Amino acid sequence: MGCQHLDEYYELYLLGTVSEGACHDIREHFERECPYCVEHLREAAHSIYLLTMTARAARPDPKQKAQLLKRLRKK
Amino acid sequence: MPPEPTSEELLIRAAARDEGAFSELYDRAAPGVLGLLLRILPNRAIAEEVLQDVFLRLWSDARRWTKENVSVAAGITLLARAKAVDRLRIERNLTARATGKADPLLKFYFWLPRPAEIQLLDGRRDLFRKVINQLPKPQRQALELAVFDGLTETEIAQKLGEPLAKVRSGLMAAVRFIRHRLAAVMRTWAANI
Repeated sequence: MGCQHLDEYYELYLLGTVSEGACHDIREHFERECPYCVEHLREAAHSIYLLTMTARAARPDPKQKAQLLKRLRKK
Repeated sequence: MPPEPTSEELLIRAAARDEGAFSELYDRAAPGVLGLLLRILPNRAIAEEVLQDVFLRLWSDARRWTKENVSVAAGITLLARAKAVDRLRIERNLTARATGKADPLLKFYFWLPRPAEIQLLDGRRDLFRKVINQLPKPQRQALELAVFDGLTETEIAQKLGEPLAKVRSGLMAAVRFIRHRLAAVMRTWAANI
């Protein structure tokens, strides 16, 4: 089966917005590493990345970093 | 002065368990990720918890990210959003999503954007903002509810009091528009898109 019927869905799939039918098809194509779907998912990821980048940056509390470094030493 | 290492170069060093490189990578990437998490999640404490989870995953999977030539900025952003939306749904007392979730794909990295692609996009963020502002308001609103509130199309329809079919076609039109414009943005440095 071709993949063109999924063209409308890649971005919305990554956002978790679409119906189960389209999700199932995309996951199935993804699992067999369908080149068309992988390429389109990568392009969709570009859009999602840029959409999320419209959020304003915020400085984390330095204590958070210290705690993180402590946790990763335990890993 | 030597050029500043890229995030991907820092990640290669982090994969070899160089904590200093990982710390530098955190300083560089964490503010952007936290900003996104604060936009999605209801409070700072939860956002900082998810931020730590994201960076712990990056530390654990650094070798795999490096091997797959993943853009650190894109990978970490997509991962953070997926984790935040899942957490948001738990906070809302919702069980697993009725529809698809992004996280299953994020167990794999081969499909994620490459560093060169994201470098190109980062240089065009201002143009992209113009593209978003060109969307009709109802489409932009629905898209923001999907991106930052993690709502499904059904939930968006309920929230906006609109028919599902209208919301679905609006979201698809928005995505088509963005995809088309993004292709143009990638081909130009001009501001007149």
